[in-house]
Amino acid sequence: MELLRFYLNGKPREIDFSHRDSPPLSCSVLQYLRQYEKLTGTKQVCGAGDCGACTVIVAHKDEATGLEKRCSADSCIMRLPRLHGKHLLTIEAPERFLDTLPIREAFLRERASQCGVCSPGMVLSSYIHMNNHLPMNQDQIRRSLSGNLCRCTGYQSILDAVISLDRNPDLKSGREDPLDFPQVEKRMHAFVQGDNVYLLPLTLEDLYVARKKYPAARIASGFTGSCMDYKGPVIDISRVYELLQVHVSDSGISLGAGCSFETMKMQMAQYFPYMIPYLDSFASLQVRNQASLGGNIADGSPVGDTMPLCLAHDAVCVVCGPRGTRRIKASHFTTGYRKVALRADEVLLAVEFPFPEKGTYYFAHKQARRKNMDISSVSFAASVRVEGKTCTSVRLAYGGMAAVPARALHAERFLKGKMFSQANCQKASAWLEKDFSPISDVRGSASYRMDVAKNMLIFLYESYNGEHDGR
Amino acid sequence: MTEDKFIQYREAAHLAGQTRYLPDLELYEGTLRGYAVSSPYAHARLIEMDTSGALAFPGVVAVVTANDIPGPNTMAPIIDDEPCLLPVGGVCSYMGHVVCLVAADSLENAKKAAALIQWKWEVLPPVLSVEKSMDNKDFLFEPLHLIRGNTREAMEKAPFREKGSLQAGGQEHYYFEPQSAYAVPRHQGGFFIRASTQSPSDNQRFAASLLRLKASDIEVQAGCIGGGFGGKQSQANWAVAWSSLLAWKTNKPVLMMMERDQDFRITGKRHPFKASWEVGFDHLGKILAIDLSVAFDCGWCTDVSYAVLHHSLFHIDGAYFIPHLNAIYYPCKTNKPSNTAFRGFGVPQAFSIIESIVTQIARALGKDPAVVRWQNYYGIKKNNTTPCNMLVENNILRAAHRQILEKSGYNGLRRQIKAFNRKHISVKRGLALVPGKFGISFNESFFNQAGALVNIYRDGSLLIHVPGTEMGQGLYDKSRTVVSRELGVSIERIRVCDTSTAVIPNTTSTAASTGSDFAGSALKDACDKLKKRLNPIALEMMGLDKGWLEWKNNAIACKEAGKSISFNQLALHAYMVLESLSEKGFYKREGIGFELETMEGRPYWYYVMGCAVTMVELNLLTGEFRIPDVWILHDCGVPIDQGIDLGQIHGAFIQGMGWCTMEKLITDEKGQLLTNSLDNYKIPGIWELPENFHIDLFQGNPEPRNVQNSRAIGEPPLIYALSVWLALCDARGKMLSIPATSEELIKPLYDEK
Repeated sequence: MELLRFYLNGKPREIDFSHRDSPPLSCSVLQYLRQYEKLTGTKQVCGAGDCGACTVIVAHKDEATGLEKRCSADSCIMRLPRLHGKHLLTIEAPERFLDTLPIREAFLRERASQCGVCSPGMVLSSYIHMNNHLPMNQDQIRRSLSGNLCRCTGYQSILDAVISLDRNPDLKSGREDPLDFPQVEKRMHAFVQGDNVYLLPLTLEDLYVARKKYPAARIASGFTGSCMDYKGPVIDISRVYELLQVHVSDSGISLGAGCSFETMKMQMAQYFPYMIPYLDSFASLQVRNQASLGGNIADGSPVGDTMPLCLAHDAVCVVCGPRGTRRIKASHFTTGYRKVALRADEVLLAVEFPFPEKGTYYFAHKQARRKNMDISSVSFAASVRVEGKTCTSVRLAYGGMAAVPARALHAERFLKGKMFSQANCQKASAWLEKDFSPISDVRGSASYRMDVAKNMLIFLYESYNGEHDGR
Repeated sequence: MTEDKFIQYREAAHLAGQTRYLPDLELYEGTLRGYAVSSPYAHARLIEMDTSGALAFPGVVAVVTANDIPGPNTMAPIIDDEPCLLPVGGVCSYMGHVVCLVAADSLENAKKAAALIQWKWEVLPPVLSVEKSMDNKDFLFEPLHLIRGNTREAMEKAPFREKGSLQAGGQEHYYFEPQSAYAVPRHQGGFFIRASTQSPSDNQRFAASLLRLKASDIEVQAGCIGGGFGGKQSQANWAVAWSSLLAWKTNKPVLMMMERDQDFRITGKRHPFKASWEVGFDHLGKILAIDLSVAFDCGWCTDVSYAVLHHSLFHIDGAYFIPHLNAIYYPCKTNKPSNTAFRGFGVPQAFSIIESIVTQIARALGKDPAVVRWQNYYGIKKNNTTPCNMLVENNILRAAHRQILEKSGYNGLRRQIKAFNRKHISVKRGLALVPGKFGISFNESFFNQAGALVNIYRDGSLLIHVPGTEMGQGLYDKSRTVVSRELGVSIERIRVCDTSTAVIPNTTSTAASTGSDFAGSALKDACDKLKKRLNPIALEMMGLDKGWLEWKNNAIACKEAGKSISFNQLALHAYMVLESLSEKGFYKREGIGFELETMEGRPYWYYVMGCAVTMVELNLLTGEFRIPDVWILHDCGVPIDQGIDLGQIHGAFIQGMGWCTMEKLITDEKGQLLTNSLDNYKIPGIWELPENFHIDLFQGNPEPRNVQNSRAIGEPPLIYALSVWLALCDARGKMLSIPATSEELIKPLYDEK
């Protein structure tokens, strides 16, 4: 029987899931902390990764460099077995492992805690900002704290507190004592509890074996999407080596499906800088650290916000299974509402984004009620190749406009071969009526969605033309 | 700062994760979890119910129905229309109406058991809009009228007239700590209840009445609670009532904690409304007459709506003198959760109405709305009484207006914005100035009282008890500051005890922004009494017969005699000579109230005023906007704690902005609330914070009627958030309803030529 091994605030932990009093396999890290460790400094507010009150820090040792890396996560949606081999730090951690004192002092000085429920999470997100040595300006700090909601302060005092930490000599973040990590064997881990299992394959071979043995088990990577509330048998593919690979070739970049959004952002920054604000608007840092590119695509959601990017880039989804590897065009990957082209024994291996042809302009925008941590009502990504003044190639991809993310083929057909102008974009927008008939729900009415979709073509043109900063 | 000093502060514990809110309490062994079972319909008669299946479920200890309640099945704060549990034969009035309670060894078991309850309902059509209840004349109480002068005649004579309307949605409080209470039976009988509440004494009263006990049998205690914003004023009664009923039935401690979606479904929100009006005015934009009717969506029962509507109606004048007014408020009954107190208590709604009227006047005349506002402000010497005939004293409206114009460079901005908007098609800027004027006190006279207790120990440390609860607004720290100043002792030696009905009885809700006014005033009274008793002892210790004593720097000094003793010496000596070192304080505001018939009187002790200017930049293509600058000038009198007051201004502004721009509640045709989590109900995040937030406190206008010349702070600054909404209206070029979400703000530009 394999034991779950990790460290908590400097102390080793071993969990035998077969034991009568052990936490359930589907236990969240938050529930574990509060119920089993009686550590209540990590707060539960929304319970669904939407507020950051339960932020914790998960440290791991980077295999390649041997360096310790600290990331934030929403503990309410993080499964306990994901801690295997890692070191969990909470607000209660001793200062020598997690030096938050100067941050707390700054918050105190600026009166940045009112009712206080969000405060531990805010402190830890601020810590991660400092730990990552990010620039100490408003914009960067907002980015770092956009996954933490506060209902009392109005954020100004919190922002001021973090800004005040600039060049604070007391801050030891990054200079704390090295953390211990448990020894875990380099083979597939399997945690068993009655009929339930939690498998952590490390290679594709492991994964195929696991799938054969547990055909009913669900595949999950980040647990931030449709698996969030699922409590049955799971194959957690977040550690599968092949899924984490990034390859850059002459023709493009191939991102492993297991890459987190944060990894994706880092990798794409160099080649497709336009994507950064778009990717930054996904969920929150805590969630982007866990959620994977592959999960977002393979979920088959109508608003999977990476799919429009894939469509606009004419990306290729590489899928693999025991019977080999297939390459499927992104436009053929999502086959229906939450349905994808994966066969029962296949997984998404990687997504290949070809490098842009010269003269191609890219644009993406996510429309939601709030800038961060909101599901989009409409998402849009486009690529336009303009030669002379003529639009020679165009891809207009929308999420949230149909049962699947899809290209606006009628509008594309209209634009192709015509002059790329405001007037033609306006005319093209009329074709969207033929391309889509969106629905009304809590995220927006059908007519609003159509308005957004049409305006996006103007937005695209204006940004192309430099009239709009595309903020 | 050393760690020692650090832990003196309430917030330090928050930041270190050490504060134990209700979900964090260490529970007694054998504690049960309570679960409230809700109706599955918005409007239906409960024909029969069988709870035996639930009771038989493993882990379940008790099921409580209306029949089990020992006392009267009611918990209405004002009008008796709110049963604690829906009885068989009764009609549920909203989806979420609580029918029975389950206590089990775990929440999971309680919930599973709840699903086994068998019931039969006769489904009735729900009323889900104020239009429908207006048609049916289905009101919770008699509509309220506020009348001044002869509106009809003045309207007819007015050179200009405009008609308009406005509608606004509700707002979920989204306090981070859910509604919760922990009821523990006491060995000697009665119950100790730890609650997340703004109203411990109300909770105590209802728990006692439901259980047929005396108030003295119940102690309700509140420590630092995780936010309230009005949502735990009357609605905290629920969790307290349910947990105590289950604790009584099982004789075990019971923790009742609403799950977030339950909290959304069961508890009330800010009142949505629909208003329509006619305004008569002259060529300068001066208001001559307003004829106005507003339908408020109060939800299924009165709760505190009666008080909310009065408070709102008393602010329908905004900051403006209205010579002729005919205003009617309709308290519409709908099959929705009972809307309740929410920071501002009806005032933000009133201000949104009057400000949209003023904006419409400006549009009609082609003037800048700020100019029309200036024309209409209350005067100092004339035009200085409100429609209920209260004198507007210490009026800084025009002074604040003038200062904020200067600070913001308003007129220059206006010109820049015009130029910017001419140049840009898809991006537009907007600007708005909004004044604030907020009356402080409970309109109901008997609420305006408070007690407090100051204990000095023989070592010179102090423990104080306050009437209000600490929900993040800084009441405990302000209370320490008041005592520190009155007794001249350092703040570090003063500790505030958790608020308890066992120590300070008969308290009023911590609401209406009166928390620190009341606590501070009562504490000051206690300090005055202590000084009066201890002064002779101090003189005696200095060997003096008489002399004026100054309490300062942890010492008591007689300057003219050049003598002084330390506070510690005095404390110890007073103890030795058998003098009490404990004193209770009491505070009352007399003379507040109004005639129900005429609505005339003095509903407030004083007004809080200020002014705000906001500039927005709206992307018409997406309906998204940014806020480059906000300027606020707010009058706190002499602030007790400036840091806390600034935090309240920031917080209220952003919360108000949430209501005005992004927080949208959606109910389906069956009466089910679709927006029931942070996943689909969006509150402002850090990106919504304006880029430059310039806040100044108005100088030189102390409030003589209040403790240490301060003014209340909690609610008034929320009004300033309307400047965001009005700036968006300005940028969009039309009046928008509230919330002005991107759905309202987007402009189809694709078919423009």
